[in-house]
Amino acid sequence: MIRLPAREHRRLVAIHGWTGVGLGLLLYVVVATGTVAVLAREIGAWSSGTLATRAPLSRALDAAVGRAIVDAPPGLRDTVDLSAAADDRLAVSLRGPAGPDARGIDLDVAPDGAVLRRRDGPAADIEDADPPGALAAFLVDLHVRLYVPAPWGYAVTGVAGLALLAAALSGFAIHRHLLKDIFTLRRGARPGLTARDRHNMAGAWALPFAVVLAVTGSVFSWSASAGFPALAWMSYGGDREALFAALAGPPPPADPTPAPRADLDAVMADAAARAGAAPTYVRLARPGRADARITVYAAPPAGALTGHTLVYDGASGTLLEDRRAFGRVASVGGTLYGLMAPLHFGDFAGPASKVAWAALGLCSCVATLGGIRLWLARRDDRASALLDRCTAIVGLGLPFATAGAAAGFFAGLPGGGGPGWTEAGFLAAAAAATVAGIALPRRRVGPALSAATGIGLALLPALRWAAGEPGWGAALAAGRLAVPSGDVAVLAIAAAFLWTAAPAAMRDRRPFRPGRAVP
Amino acid sequence: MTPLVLAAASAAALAALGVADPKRRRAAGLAPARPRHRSAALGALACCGLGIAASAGPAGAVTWAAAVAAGGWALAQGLALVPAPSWRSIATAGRFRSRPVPVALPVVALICALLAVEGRRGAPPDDAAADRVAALALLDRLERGAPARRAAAPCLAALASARDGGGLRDLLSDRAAAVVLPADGGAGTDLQRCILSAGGEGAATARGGDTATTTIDADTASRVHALIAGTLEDADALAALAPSGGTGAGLVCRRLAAAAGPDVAGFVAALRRDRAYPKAGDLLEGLPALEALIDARRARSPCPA
Repeated sequence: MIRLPAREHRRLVAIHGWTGVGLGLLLYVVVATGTVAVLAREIGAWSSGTLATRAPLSRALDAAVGRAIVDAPPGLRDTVDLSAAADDRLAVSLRGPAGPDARGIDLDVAPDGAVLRRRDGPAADIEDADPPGALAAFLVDLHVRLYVPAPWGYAVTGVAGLALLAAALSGFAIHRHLLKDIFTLRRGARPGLTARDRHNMAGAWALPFAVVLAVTGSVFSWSASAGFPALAWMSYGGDREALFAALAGPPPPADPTPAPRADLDAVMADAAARAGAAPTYVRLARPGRADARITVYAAPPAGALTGHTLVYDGASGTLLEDRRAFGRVASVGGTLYGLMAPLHFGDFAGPASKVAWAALGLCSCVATLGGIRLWLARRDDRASALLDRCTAIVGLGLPFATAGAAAGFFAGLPGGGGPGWTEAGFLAAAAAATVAGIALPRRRVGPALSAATGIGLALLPALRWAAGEPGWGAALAAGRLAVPSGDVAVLAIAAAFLWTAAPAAMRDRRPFRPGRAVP
Repeated sequence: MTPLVLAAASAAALAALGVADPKRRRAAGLAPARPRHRSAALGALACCGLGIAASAGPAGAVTWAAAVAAGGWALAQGLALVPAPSWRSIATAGRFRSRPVPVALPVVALICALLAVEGRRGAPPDDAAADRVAALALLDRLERGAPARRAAAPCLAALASARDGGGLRDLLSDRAAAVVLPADGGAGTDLQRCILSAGGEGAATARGGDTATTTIDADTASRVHALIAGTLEDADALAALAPSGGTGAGLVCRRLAAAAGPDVAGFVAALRRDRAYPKAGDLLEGLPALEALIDARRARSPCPA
């Protein structure tokens, strides 16, 4: 698209290639897990077999939350967070004052108000330990920090975001016929040429999406560890509290005087009416005190990209503020920052935007893996052969391990389940893929892992049913399409993997081998 | 033009762009499309995007852009599987002119289906829709009236527990009243809370033996009446209704008929159908009493006094 002098062009080609080769596999893992994580909520509804139709934050909450607060020790009532959990349950998290030794209580509340599960202990130990939602939580966590301990996990995914940005921008600059080649895929040409067309085509269609994802993902990964500290250092001499006071307003003066709690249901109804959409998350700060605050985060109303954040007085229930995403006055930067989350998560228009996001994520995965293989095709040395094998193992081992995580999740359900089963399933499948990738001849690694992934995915609906999850009849009778549509989607993906694993002769496709020079 | 029609038009424009791709046609030894034809397809695509942005807002526009990109990628791969057609085979001079009916019928059917779907989505409310609107409006009032309902609850409780309580019914007639109740009974407590809800002025209680006599002046009685009858909408009173009916049942019965018309059953059926509305369940839980009232209405029984 950009006419560059030959020297700059060569430099950008080198940047594009080495960025892809050096960080391409990491980038692929982050993008592929993100593609799945976009649909985490739907995956959660499918895997937990939710049959209820009412969102937990849209029913009467005040009595259940009041009981939870009264039952908790006074030291653990500093904040109370409310969110929707799998299986139509309400997740209530009570926390003491923040800090490395913070403790808390997590409750799962059934639609009838009964407490189904209670976990208490150090906050770090009890978070994300929700058995029915373990699969969805695992997939999100895998994308966010690749299960690398904080803050290093965020740094790793942040590096992947920057690599994606560098690859996308350099690819945009070096591709001279971006729009002309946007429909060009010469399947009958030499394998190398076909592979190049496929990489260029996927990269071109996914380019705007890749730039958006790279920028927003980098902001999320780096804002806490570098962005806000740098902002505090530049503007407030390193005083982070002053920075946050400027952004979100000063905290209310401490007033520990006991005060009755505002009617949470009335607050929620008011918030839903003002925001024009259902609340998605609620935080009660210092409930039962005169300085209590209730913050309601609402979904975007129809047609909008961003939702409202409404702050209420926790004692009187009066609205105090419709809070901006960033800063206290309207600004271009604040608006852009507010768009980061919806543009990254792709959840602003329900399933339509999520499916589009997932499709473009898949497109980015094809571009990334195709680019690495294209680079390897120009080389025929030992290191390239090793990288080629790693690419095959990671490229197809990740879907296989994800299928393993789902299988582990369902296998653990009869015994109570939990995150441990999901993680064990993922690790076992990843280990099996690695061993197979090392032991098998290179040309058989791809078909073997594709076939294994297809078979594993095809078995998931049966495993789900065997684990006691509802069948199609019960789900359809309850008007819930998540279960049957999830099964159909999984079977369709399984068929696609089995198709790619089929012998090349069956698909009338010539094999593409690394080491063959691309003309 | 609505989003669904615009989405279909976008798909058609994208397909036209793919079919007219010059590089692909040259590779097949065919004449490329003229620039103005490709510009027209691109322009149509852009117009669809603008239409989506106008009708579905920013979220619709961003979703449309992402869907076009994903659809374009899929289309490009699909087009690689089929040979590039000659213009004769796809232009009006070709197949359509020779055999117009088989080509036109599916296109017309698709357009009719899209229009039917869109028409149904945007149709004016029929009877069922009107029921649904009425139900939602009533439920909306239920939500908005929550604070008033809480304030009036003691008054309704006092009324419900004092069917035979002399003078208590005067609370609803704006007259000064003297209410004699057991000194340690729940009704007395409810009455005190009710009076406090109405401001707490103009009332005094004198205790003697096992009874307490509460005298209420006309202004206070008027405020209590307003609290009950003025701030409580149909659904508010409905929510306060005891399962077996109560003193509030007559009020509800009359107001329900005024709000939903004679076909109260249709109104309730609409509530039941509207499972997507989150608060519907709360109201439906109290439906036994409502259904008893509906039965009474069907039997043309008079509303309770």
